[in-house]
Amino acid sequence: MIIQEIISGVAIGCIYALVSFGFVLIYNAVGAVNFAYGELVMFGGYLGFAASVWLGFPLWAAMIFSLVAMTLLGIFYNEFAYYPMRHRPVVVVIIASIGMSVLLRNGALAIWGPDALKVNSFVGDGILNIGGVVLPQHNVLIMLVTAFIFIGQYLFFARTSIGRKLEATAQDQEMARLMGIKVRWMIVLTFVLAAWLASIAGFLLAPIWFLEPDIGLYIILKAFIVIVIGGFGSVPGLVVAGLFLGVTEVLVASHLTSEYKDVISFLILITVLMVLPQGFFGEKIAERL
Amino acid sequence: MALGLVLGCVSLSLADIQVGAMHSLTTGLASLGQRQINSAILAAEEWNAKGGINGKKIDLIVEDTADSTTMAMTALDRVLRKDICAILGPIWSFQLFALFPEVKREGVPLLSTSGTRALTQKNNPWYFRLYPHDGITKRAYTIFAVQELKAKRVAVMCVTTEYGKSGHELILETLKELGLEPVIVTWHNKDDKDMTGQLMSIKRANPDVIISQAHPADTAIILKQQRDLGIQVPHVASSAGTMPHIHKLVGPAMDGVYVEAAALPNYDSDPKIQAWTKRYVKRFKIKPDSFAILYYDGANFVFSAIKAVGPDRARIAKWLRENRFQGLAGQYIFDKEQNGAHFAIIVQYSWKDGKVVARIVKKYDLSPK
Repeated sequence: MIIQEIISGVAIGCIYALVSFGFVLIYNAVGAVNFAYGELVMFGGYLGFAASVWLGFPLWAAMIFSLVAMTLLGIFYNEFAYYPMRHRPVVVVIIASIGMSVLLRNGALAIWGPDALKVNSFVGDGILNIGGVVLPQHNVLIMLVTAFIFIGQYLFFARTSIGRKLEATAQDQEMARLMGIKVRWMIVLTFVLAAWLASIAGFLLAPIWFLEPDIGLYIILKAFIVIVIGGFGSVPGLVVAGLFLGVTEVLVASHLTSEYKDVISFLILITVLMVLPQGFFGEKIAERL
Repeated sequence: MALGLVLGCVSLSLADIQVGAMHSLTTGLASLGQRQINSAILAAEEWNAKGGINGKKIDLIVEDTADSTTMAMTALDRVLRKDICAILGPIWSFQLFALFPEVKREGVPLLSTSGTRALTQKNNPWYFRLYPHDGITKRAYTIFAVQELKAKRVAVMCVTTEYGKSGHELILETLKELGLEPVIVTWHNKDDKDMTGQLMSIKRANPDVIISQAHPADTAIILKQQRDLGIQVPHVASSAGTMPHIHKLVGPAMDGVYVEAAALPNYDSDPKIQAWTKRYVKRFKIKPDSFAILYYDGANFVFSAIKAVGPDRARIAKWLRENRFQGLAGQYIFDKEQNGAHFAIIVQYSWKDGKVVARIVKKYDLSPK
């Protein structure tokens, strides 16, 4: 039974890691804490719903529709909520992201209404039974997609010219500009990549968590815990922390206390901040915050 | 000229009978709130189409209580700025508890469809409950699980809100009366998206029935994950399980699920309820739930009171206490605690030909004689 719990926790942890990655991508590139990232994930899912249910597109076409629409949303976000504010104090950028979060949340409520909605899974509602351990096919898809994205991002940033340019921009924008990198385009590209990740994450969580206008708040809360535990800005840290949090939550709810499951999550967060301020893999959180 | 027009509007407005209608119209709680406000609007429109109340138009003052006590208090302040004689309020007990002191101070009748037992145990003479409280519904579905489904090992899943805690107490109390203790009790937060831990601990406890008390989205997740984890015992869910959009989310996992409710507007064979459901869907392009039909009855109950005694708050409250009202869902009569609905049904859902189908398997009528 414990294997069942660990596998279920891994699937949840994969979603945590995935949504945290988009958040960290923007943070690493431009140093902006984007509190609207949960709402971007929510919008990615809702756009998939609009394409697959309202417009009747097959799921693959709905995915493309969502990616294209999220590209525009990513550019819009950068142009209106980040780029004009980039030289202002960091608190201004944070407030702009909170404003964007409210705008997207209420926008979703106005467009899609308050009822929870579902996007069908690419692999259906089937359940695999492997030696008594049951595993919804969709959870297998979540794990595979997460693995693909994290391997893909490693190859992209380490092996491609554009990936290195993005990395250079993230490390020092002035130096990157002096090296001839078009920093403005790199920033736009970062927001677009984060929006694509949000779209994919939205598609993956919509069949199991369902879509509600407020779901972004839940997502960002979990993502923030993962990012802090993993080490602010560390991509390998996200994977480890996401899986750690997902599995811990399931085991705590199953064996210790279901009533105070979230309290335990926050106790873990506080403990990490006290004992391991740099997180599992990152630099000292105190310095970045 | 312009001033004359404005004054004209004001004088017209003063001639109307103003009734407050406050509920969650935004945030994640709007799913229930919008449906119930729709019911109040429909009732007011129907009365106005027939000439209003004693020749005066009903002017519904609609305000959003969102998902917080602060917003609920703000909504109440805005409603009270008008000359309202009664308020149709939100379903959420955490908001209602916050509203009570001002409602008492103002002396205005407040009606709602909340099931939380403690609401009518606070000695608030201005609060009227229009939905069977948890003492009726939780008792009914626990008795149903034990007596009809012959359960001996009961697992209980509750949400950590006031609603969940109220239900938890009543389920355990009823089980005790029936000579049983739950084999396990689990808790979850209303925004939780994963119930694997809770369901796995239930699986270990090896129950023969699961009784849950939860809100709409968590009910859907619980039912779906129970199926995903292969836990094949009957599930008796709280009334959120009757909401039409939940059935779309849960799909085949609704098969064999039992749900307690006060009414079943989308499946009831009563021609009056069918006709009302059609009117509702035509007007708002959304299916009503069981709370919506009782809210509609509540609005009509209040409008009838105003018709009988005029827009006087104290006289409306007195009339509500002293009169029975036959609504669409059932008969309403307020007991000493001012609980107005005393009926409950148990609905069984099944999955046939790719659709969720419902049938009423048990009716409970606990009306005061």
